Amino acid sequence: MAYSEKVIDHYENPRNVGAMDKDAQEVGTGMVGAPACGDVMKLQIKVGANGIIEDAKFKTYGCGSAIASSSLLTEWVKGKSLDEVQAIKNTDIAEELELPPVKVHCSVLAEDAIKAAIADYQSKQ
Amino acid sequence: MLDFKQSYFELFGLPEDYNIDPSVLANSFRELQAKYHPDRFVNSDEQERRVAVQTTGFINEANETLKSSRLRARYMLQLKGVDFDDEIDTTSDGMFLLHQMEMREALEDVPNAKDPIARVDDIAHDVEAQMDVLKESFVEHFAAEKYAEAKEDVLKMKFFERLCQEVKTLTEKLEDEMF
Repeated sequence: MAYSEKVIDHYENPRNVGAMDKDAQEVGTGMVGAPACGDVMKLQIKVGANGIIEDAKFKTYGCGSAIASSSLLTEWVKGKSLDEVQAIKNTDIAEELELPPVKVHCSVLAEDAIKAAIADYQSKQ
Repeated sequence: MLDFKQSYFELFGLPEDYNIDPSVLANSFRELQAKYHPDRFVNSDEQERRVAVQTTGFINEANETLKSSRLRARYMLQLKGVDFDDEIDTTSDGMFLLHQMEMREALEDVPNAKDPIARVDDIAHDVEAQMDVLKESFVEHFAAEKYAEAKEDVLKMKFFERLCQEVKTLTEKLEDEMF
């Protein structure tokens, strides 16, 4: 299976890899796993007082598509409001990265992760 | 002709139980393989040869399924009508995932350990022990007909299967570097 150039770019130069303090009130952490392949993904957001996402970090143990999906998503969510981010669909990610059908579940994982991060953040407010 | 409708357990003459005797499975598999080997059908007509190929496929698939502790559990649930959908099933048990993350970070850190081989060995034992806990949990849930919980156990097994592979790859790499 051939990865698209965009996937390879994110895989080789992942953006925003790292971790934030998961106990901080302004940080939301989302963790999800894909039982199809055993991939694990952690996505964190830091939300400013104005409700805008100031920063995002991720750590993914998985295939190239899972890494690229989470890397791309951290780029997308920065500077957006929580509502705008809620509207992002896995199909947007799959389309942007030109994921083949067998790898679409990687983008589902990324969508689940960001939703979980937002829910975690909201539960702390 | 082999009955394709029978269960994999019936095929190998095993009781429908999670704890199988691996030697019974291996022997039974070898016997069936020999009996239905496509080479025995070279002089048969096309229809018979096609059936022989299907039969071998069925026997191999059954063997692969029952041999694996995860696939065997998954198959037992499927026999009870539990669906698995690889595209949409996700695990969101936070504690479990946090622990998975930590295990993978520990693996990543192995090359920095004082004795990397000993370190990776420790992790391997840990992974194995936790996989055993999941197997026991599956058996209990299955026996109590708690199929949703049993499915969760099966889904979690995949993460340990993946860890096992990574442990193996890393061990081989470390051993290569030593010699």
